[in-house]
Amino acid sequence: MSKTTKALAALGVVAGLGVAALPIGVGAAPVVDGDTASGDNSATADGNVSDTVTVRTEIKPTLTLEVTGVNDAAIGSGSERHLVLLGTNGELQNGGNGSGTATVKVTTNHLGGYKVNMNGETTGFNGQTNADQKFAPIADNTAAFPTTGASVFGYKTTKDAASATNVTLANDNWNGVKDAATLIATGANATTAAGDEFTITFQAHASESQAADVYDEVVTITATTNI
Amino acid sequence: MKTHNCITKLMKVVRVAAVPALVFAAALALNMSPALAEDKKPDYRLQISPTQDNVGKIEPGETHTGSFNVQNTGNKAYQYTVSISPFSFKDDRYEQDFDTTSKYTVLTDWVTFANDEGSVEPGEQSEVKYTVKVPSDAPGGLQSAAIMVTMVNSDEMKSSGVQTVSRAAYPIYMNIGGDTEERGTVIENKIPTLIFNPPLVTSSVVKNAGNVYATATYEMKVYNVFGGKEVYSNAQEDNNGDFKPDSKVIFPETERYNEVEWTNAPKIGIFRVKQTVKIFNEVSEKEKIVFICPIWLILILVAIIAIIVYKIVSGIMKRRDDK
Repeated sequence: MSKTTKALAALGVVAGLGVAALPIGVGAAPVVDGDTASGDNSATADGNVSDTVTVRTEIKPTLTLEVTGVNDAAIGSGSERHLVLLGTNGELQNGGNGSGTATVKVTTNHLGGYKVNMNGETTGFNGQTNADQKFAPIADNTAAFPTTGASVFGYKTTKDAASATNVTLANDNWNGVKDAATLIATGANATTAAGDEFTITFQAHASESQAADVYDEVVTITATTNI
Repeated sequence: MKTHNCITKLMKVVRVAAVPALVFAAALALNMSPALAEDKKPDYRLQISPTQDNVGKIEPGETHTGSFNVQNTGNKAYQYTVSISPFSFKDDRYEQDFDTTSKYTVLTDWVTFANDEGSVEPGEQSEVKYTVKVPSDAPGGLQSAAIMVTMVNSDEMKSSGVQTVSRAAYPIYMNIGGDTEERGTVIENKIPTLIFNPPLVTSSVVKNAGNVYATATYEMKVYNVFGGKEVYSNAQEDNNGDFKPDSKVIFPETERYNEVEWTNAPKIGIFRVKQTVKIFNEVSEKEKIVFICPIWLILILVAIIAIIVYKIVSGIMKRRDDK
């Protein structure tokens, strides 16, 4: 063998060793046909190679509460509170009754559903000028709201049975507003996009001797997803 | 002839005017749609996401940080305040209690907020960040609380009547490591024998007698009486391909009532129903044959049986008389 040939042979060996030392590919290789690595559907050669791609997104749970008072327009556009006036134009006559409604809508994609609670101020439905003048809370679970006798104040929840199938009301009768948060509605499951809607009717009966004043109460409506 | 020509000319005018009229109407509809969609949204709508924080196990001395967003999906900006309340349950229907304090609600003293108030513009969100610093001497077991997000009114209210305030509660609950006890019982496991209409509903009551919160599982399987083929299971497949039944969190020293429902049960049939309820290491299995039959069909069957019996008895009586 000539010197040139020997040199060429040596260079060829070095080149071969260098190629062998090079890293083979970068990153994970696709699964070769016949391989039993994860992602391959077949342990036998079938002419196909496969690899896996994970596609993922997350939709977080949300809870939405929307309250509308029947007299919201009376308090202007700058208020986040909602207003329900009792009586004609918010005026109640001695010996008379007055009522008004607030609509509550809850929307959630939480599969376990939700609960809605309501509580009032500790001062109750009382006069703004003289806080000692009060309407007593009506006895719980009263079927018919009284139209005579002592001054009382209470609420009742109702819903459209045909459309609000996901929501169960806690009580069908009149109840007094409590200081502590009290269950008024339960949604068993996630709602539709339109949400679950129900109505709270507030009513007051003024006795013949109830003092003249402006009477009000602030109630807090709380929505929570179920654990 | 003249009438025909008039009609023909009128038709030409209509055809010429129709195209631009349709284009105009379409443009008007497109312009109105966003406005209509805008009007459907209320002025004020409170939204939070996510809706609760199931922390899991945490050791005394550790710190947990979390956050959620207050989102405005209404038409107007609003302000809100953030506060902390105890959180527990009043009864086995898990009616929420935001007022009663106990050894399990000391968490209210450990929570601090980056900001305890904020404001959010329409279409935007505001992040509420909170930190829970667990004391090094915290007792083992459940701790729970609820972060209250309350919409506030910056204007003084002078109107009479009833004013409502909107609030969303965000429960936080965790198990503190240390002296813990895991003990539970399935007090009740019920399957009905006869139902007149679907759905088929099974019920159970689970008691957590320990001091940590746990997850109870509820599995319902329904089989055809004839053939034994499974026709329904409430277990859902998760991302790992495992089938998991319904589950509910049970707080310590409470009992929880739960129902499992086969909503699409047929209106008539005979099935073998099995309900398995688990908490900690306690397992309760119940299996029963269930009849689904409308009341009117039962009445018809009873009437047919009654007629048959009457005929048989009448026949016997008549033969006796003839003898």
